[in-house]
Amino acid sequence: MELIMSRTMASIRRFDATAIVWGFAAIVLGLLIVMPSFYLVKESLFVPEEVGLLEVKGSYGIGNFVEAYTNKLYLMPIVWTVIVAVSVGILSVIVGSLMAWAVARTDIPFAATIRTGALLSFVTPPFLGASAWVILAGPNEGWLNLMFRSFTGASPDTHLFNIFTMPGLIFVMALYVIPLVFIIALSGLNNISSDLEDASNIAGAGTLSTMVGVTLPLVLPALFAGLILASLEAMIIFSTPAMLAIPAGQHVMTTQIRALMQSDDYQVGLAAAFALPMLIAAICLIWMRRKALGRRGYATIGGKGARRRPQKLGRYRWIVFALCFAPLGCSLLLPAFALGMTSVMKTYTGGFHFANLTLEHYRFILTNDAVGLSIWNTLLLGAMAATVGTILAGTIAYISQRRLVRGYQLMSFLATVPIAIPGIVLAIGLFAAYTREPIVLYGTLWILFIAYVTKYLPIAFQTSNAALMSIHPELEEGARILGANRLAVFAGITIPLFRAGLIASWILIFMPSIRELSSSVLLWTTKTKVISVVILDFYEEGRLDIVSALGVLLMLITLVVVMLAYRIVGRDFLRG
Amino acid sequence: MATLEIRNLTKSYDGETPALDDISLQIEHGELVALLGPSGCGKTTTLRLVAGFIEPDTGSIQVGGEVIASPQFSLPPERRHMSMIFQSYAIWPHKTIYQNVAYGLKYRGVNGGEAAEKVKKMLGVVQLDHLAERYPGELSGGQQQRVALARALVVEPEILLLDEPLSNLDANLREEMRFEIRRLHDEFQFTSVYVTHDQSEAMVIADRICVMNHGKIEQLGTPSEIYERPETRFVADFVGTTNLLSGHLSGTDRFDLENGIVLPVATQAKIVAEQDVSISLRPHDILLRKPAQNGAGVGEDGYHVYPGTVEECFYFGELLDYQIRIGENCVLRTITPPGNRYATGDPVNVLIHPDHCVLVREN
Repeated sequence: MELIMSRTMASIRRFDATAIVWGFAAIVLGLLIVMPSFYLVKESLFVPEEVGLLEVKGSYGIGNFVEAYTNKLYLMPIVWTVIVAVSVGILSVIVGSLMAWAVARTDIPFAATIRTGALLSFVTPPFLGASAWVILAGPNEGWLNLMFRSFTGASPDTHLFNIFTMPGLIFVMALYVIPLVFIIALSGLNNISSDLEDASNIAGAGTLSTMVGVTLPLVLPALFAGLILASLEAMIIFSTPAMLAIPAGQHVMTTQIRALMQSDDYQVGLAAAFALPMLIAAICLIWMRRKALGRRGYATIGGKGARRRPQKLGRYRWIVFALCFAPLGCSLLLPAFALGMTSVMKTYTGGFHFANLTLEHYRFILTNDAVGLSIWNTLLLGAMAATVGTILAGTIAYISQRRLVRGYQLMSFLATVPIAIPGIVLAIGLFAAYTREPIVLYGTLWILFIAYVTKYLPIAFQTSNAALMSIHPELEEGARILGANRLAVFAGITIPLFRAGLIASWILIFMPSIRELSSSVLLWTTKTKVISVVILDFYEEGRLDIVSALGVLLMLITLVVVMLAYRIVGRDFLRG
Repeated sequence: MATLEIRNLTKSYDGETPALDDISLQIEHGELVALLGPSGCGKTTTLRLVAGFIEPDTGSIQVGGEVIASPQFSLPPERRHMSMIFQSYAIWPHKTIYQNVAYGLKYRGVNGGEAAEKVKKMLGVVQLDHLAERYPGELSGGQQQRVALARALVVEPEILLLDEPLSNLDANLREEMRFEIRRLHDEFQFTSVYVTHDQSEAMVIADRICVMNHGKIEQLGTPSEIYERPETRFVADFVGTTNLLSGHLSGTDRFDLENGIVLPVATQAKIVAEQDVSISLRPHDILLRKPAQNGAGVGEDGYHVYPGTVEECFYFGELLDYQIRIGENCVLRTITPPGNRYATGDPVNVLIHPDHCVLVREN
């Protein structure tokens, strides 16, 4: 009897959660990653021959790839994408790393302001920046050009700046990629123990040879990682080129994909074929970055970044400050001014006087039903994606850190994979997968929800992982041995200690979700528009006043959320 | 009666190399046994098996005659009525000191005023009553250690487990806490298992020491047995400093170093039968004298005398540490109180007593 009892108990205890966890994970990750990828590839091989009203007949082959890479029409966007990505990458690495060096290693004034400014411009939606720069530097009515003409008396058809050019595009893109490089380079520099530099000094090397011989090689991996991320960002971004390159008469790959998807002919296959190399390029770039950082370990070069002797800049102090401040002025102050003013002006070309002021645009966005629906959709989607994504990321992180099931490494790998999937490529995959039986999600909020969760799962996972790493398993074991069971330990010890990490994850999904455009632009339908899509619509209609009012609203929502987060968890979450 | 009995316990993490290889050990009620060994010797694995965080591959663990762990059945840790003190202290940073200490009581059915009284009393015992409402982040390392002690002791566990509890403290505090833990043990008399890699910690704290290496028990005995009568080369070397001399037994009371020197040994029935043995000779059991006329032989009180030369001398204030050559390939480390001092190169007589030449098994 006792033997049977103990056998039963043994089978209960030995019951392995692996099957259940993996079953659930397989469904979730299948919906999020496997299905879209499968349909992306399948669709890219489907060549339509006869497009009917209800069904599309065709055959499978490599016709789409041949078309996408031999037709001259589609070659220019690829060339431009490469040019833009490389230029933006190089430009942002030069500016971003110099800013980081100035902040970390010299005595420039207002270093903290520059750091905060960089973080702020990092969270500014690039499509608002692009709209603002149209107001500032549009060839005909841009404020800077108007000022130029009134100062010089030049004729109305001359202009100083034209933002609707490829250099203009590169400039605006770089403005919002520089902070990314800045943050990476700064953490790289801060992680280098000043002992290493002092050791070089004591060995007889001067400031310059120390910088070239010791500091630079140590931050080089971080700079290379910055270059790769910057180029990747420039390659996959949709909003800025949609706003600036198309009026300039050019397509890049992302805008070309959208044009194909929206064409009246059924060209999803062509879009998929066009998008696949982008996915492969993105995966290669992420892999290269890993490799660059992997060998030396990510900037874990010892030392806690103790206060070091800052380089004295002397009379160049203010010059260096001005150079560091310029990109922030261009990405934050000028755009904020342009959008803020335009949102309360009857016409943005009407001049700065009281008669031109109005609150009409705000009244419009707050009373228009379609706009109201999009605001509701945006907040609902953001909150849903953030909540589900946080739970998912936290669970996967917990499982893989505590090694609760077999194959936990694969699970954490899958949670990181979407980092290499460009938003617009993800959208094609989701569109192809969920517009047909057995699962029809197109036309509902769910397809956008899946896109957001997938896209921001990696960042939430990394945040949760870092937070969990600081919770020593002994904290849980200590409660077990005192009499608490697994569930009580989880509720009473793990969750409270994990709280800050979970809130940070939530914010890090919510914030980018409410301004997501590159996936949303392919997935929206009339009932499921979100703010960013509405902004793009109004932009394309030339309604920069409405765009500005919506932009101010979006920034206000972001600000409120960030401030709440500060109140709840302190400012630590930005480090995640 | 919380007698802890471990029988033929084996555990392997990867299915191949055993972390623990057929361990048997009995700990009496109220006894404090230290598991001593280098890292990777299996001591922490043993402790975690007793706690129930991992399950054995073979063998069993019994408390008071009842099986709590075997390959077929393993009682979860929360139902083992034990307490544990962790290397990291594992004090919950989101709970006050009071809440930390009170945590285990509610799971043992102690609530309300009774619980409050127990916590208060225990905080008094570890001298933390004035810090009850503080959070752990505001406490020093030593104070956190006391919180861990209080939290583990307040529930009056059947068995107390301690996993290198002092290794994160600085040297002075560590020494102080050793006596503190021993004092608390004498006061509460819990059956205790204490894991450490620090031999002096084990000596001060434990009733018995279980020296482990490569997943096996090398020797189990009182601190003085372990120190004065080590049974294996590993134990002699790991616990304290010693001179290990290889050679072979010639007869029952002589050990031939195979370089012309023969040392006297006291007969040790347990080990004599074994062929592969060495001699362990503690440095401070060796006496040094100014050389007399007659050289080698048997001198005062049964000491054997060997002529030697001082090779090196280190001055430590309270003692002198010599390297003395007594033959080819044979240099003895000798620690003496400062008194007669010998300079490098001086001839000196080395006095060795048979009782101090301990035969140890080679492993």
